[in-house]
Amino acid sequence: MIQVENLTKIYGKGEIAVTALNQVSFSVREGEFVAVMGPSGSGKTTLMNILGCLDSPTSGTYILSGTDVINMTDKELARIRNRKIGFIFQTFNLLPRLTALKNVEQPMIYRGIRRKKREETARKYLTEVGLEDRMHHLPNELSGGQKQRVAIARALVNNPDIILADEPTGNLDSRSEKDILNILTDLNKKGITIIMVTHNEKVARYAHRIVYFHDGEIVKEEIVNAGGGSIETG
Amino acid sequence: MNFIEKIKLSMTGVWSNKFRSFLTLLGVIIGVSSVITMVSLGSGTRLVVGGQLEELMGRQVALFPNWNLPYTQQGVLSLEDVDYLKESIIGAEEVAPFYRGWFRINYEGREYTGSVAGVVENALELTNLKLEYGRMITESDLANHEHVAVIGQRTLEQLTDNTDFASFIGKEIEIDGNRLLIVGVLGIANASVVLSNDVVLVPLTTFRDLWRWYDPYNFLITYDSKSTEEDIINQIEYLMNDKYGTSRGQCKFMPAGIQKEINIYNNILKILILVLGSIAGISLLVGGIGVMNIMLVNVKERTKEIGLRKAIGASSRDIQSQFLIESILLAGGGGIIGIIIGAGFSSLLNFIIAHFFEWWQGYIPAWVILLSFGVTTFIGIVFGSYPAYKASKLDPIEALRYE
Repeated sequence: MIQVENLTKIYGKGEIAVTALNQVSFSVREGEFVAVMGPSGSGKTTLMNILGCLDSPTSGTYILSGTDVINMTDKELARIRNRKIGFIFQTFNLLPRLTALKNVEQPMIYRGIRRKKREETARKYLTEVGLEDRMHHLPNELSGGQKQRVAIARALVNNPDIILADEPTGNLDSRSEKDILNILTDLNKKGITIIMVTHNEKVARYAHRIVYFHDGEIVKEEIVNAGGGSIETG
Repeated sequence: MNFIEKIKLSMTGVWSNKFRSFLTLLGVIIGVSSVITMVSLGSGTRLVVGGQLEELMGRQVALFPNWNLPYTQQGVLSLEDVDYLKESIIGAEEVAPFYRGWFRINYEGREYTGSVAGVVENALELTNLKLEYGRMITESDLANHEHVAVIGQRTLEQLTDNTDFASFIGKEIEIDGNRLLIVGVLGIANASVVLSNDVVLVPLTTFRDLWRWYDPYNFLITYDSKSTEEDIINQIEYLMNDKYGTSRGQCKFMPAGIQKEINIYNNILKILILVLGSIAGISLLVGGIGVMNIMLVNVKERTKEIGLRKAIGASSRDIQSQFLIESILLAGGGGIIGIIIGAGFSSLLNFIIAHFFEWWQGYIPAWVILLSFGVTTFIGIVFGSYPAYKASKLDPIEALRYE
């Protein structure tokens, strides 16, 4: 599914240059749930941005579902972000002036789907994440956990192959954290590949495999739960 | 992503800051309403000055005795001069003698001192006065020295409260003690320089019989479109000097054109257009900068939204068009508000001016509305391009991280 080789990302030039990723090689199988751990500045977010086609590496190769994305145009990359990848952020990034339903519809606008169909699909996914009675609420009328569920619904509406989650539970209480992780685990069981960045060892334990980053390099890989599925954390 | 979706998306942007959007647009609104008012006022005067006055009334010169000379040295026009001038002036079309005087006019006990003119049968064509009811003075009236009168509505209004002007045909009025039969009524028409609406026309011969001691003849000379007023006046002066000689180096007669008056009109119009045009230009420029300013603020404020939109599948082009359309909607919306305000304001002005000058015919041409709309849309494009470009070039990662 994902194959990166010798991925290097250097920010800045000359003496102030910072190497965020240093010759990283890494692959993710289809249907896998991978957690990426490491301290701040270890390069895990940079990796996520490159995997999410939001950023391009300084050197190295990135093959996504058999296609080389390094030399793609802005438009082609936008299409990949739109259809193949779903993003979930620590700060949710919902559009504050739009209702939950409208927020979930947004990715379908860029796909060119008609309004009726968009609304139908958005309703379906919001119901799936348990927010059927919150569809017409604005983000500031929702709790953190609910916001993140809206964001998950938004990530799902275009049937992505991969979900990239950057600290998805970083701003949530432990109860919501568990809800969100269970939703992610369920999605993974349905065949969606998930890559999740986290600080929290306990959260990382939901994955099949944990990749540890330090100073832009992978320092350790650990298979925690080959079969996948949720683990009781209480 | 289709076009309608793009417009809807941009619409939310404009609408979510209604008040701010409106303030931003004041410049554009003032600019557009100035343009519309300016064109509307301009069209009002141009219709009259440029149209009827210039075409029908403009090409004429009135010839009077030279009032600047002592009375005894002023020239006296004779009817022979009609043919003399008509045949000698290159470019002359008609030469018509007329008398003009002010007399007491009585109608059923009410009195009014007004203008009375002795004219020939083609006076209407020469002066642009319009016959509303009855008939004009005819050649037989002139030949028979008939005591008939064609009376202007303005004069009638002074003499009676009855507005059924047609009913005055066949009635008699008294002018300076002489009874005359009303045969025609003049309607409201554009003002003429020599003769206005507020007049009673009588046959030239009748006038001469009754008041020949009062004043000598005056002439009205019309000329063709190939001649200039200056040229005609020079010819008249030359011909009159040749026949009557000069007095103290001056011509004994005074030809008076109306081009000078028309030029004053035109100059006032030009100044008006210049002033309103500058206001329009400056406020449109300021408005455009306002649009750019607010769009830059918009981009900054919505950095995070831009980052997110990119993450969920917007290309740089999508972002660029979203903000460009937003800017066009903003400026175009200002244009529409400006058109409405400008139309309302100029309608009011035209209404007021028409109240004082009946010949005023101000209106709002369709092209200025289309032009205003086009210009404001253009402003939206010009001043929205840079903010939209800036938005499209934002790094999505930094944008997402922006707080």
